[in-house]
Amino acid sequence: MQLTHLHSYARPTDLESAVELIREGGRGTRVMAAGTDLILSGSDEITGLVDLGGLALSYIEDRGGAVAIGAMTTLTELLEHPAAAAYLDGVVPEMLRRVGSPLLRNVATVGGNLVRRQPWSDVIPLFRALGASMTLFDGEDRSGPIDDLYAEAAHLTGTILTEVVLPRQPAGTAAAFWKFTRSAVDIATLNCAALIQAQESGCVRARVFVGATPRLAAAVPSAEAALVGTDLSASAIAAAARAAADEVSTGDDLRATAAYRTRLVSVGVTRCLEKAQERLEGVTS
Amino acid sequence: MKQTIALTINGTRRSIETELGETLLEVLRRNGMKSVKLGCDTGDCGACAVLLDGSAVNACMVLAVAADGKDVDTVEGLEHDGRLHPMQQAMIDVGAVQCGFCTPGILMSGIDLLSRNPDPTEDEVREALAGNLCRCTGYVKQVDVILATARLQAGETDA
Repeated sequence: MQLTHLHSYARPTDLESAVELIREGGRGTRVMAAGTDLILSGSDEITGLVDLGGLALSYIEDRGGAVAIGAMTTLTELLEHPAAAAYLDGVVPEMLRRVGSPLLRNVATVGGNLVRRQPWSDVIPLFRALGASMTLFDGEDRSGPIDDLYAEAAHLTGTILTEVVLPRQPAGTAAAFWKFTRSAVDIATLNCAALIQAQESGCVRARVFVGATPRLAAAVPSAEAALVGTDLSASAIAAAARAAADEVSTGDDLRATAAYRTRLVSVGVTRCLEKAQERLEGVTS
Repeated sequence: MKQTIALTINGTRRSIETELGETLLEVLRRNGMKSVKLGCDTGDCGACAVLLDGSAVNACMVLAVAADGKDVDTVEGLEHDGRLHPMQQAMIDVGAVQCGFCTPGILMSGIDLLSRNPDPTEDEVREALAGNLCRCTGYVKQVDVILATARLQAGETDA
């Protein structure tokens, strides 16, 4: 038995009751999506669970080019959905195919992945690079960028992530995801997500995120700055990769040393931007 | 803390007592579904794969209470009227079983794949088995089994 201290479990069917149960539950109470990560934690601190499985939060909707995703949507449901395939050359399924195994993706949820703030998450760097927004419910709906989930002072107690929206992207935008792992189903040794937008004058917007450093994914402003205003040529991409390798602070863990990860930053940012650039040419030509 | 849940296991609705912190894997084995193997218990090996409402999942990664009201299918339910499921028969015919520990999980992943994608490529079969570890074979024969089952089922549909 993994959660040996668990003594209360509830599966509310409306959001108001869910928030009430979380607040009444106190310190040991956790909000559960699929629960894969909570089970693996085996934490003795978990004494109560509020399971969101009874809420109607599993859906995917194309909203005029934006993609709205209910927080309880499984990774497989998103991976197989035509709206995800149609969004920016299928960058979302490209990422999801690299997350764990089908057995895990069939239960793990989009919302759970975002809220757990795991440093190895592949969903977080890509969704942040895409500029996703979210709706939190704490008695009423509150909207904001998903970046707010990852701010130092993020305070989520008593709130439920209900929806994530990938925004409609302007013409001339492309994105890509890159991940390095030791095996097909291992968590990332390092990952990278990038979004670029170009007009005739060159690159007007760039977002580059690097994750599993082994800390939580973060933006790489120096790489983004190195791209804006350029023609996104090989030399511009190389400059962005150099800037990223200089800026991103890497660390050691059982998967890789800091020095190895710094090499991966350079390789990953390069390959990610090259792929985005190829897609951009596919779009504009 | 105990709770009684309802699970429809291989088509039969059952009332089952579970501890709140127990996984679906523990509850299924205690209730006779010994095809569901306890391998890693960390969602890595796929030996405990079952179909939960039709999708293959690691039973060690699902709390039993969270499966309350759902359908669970295991290898015990594959045989009908004394006939093995075509994929089980193909496991025998192709000779894809060595120690057998991974076989039930591979059957579940294979059945899930063919339910979504009746005509998979070899690459798609290999991707579908990414979460099922086998330490005896080189996966070649298990992949053959799933492709052979797909061909067989396509033939039955055409006929």
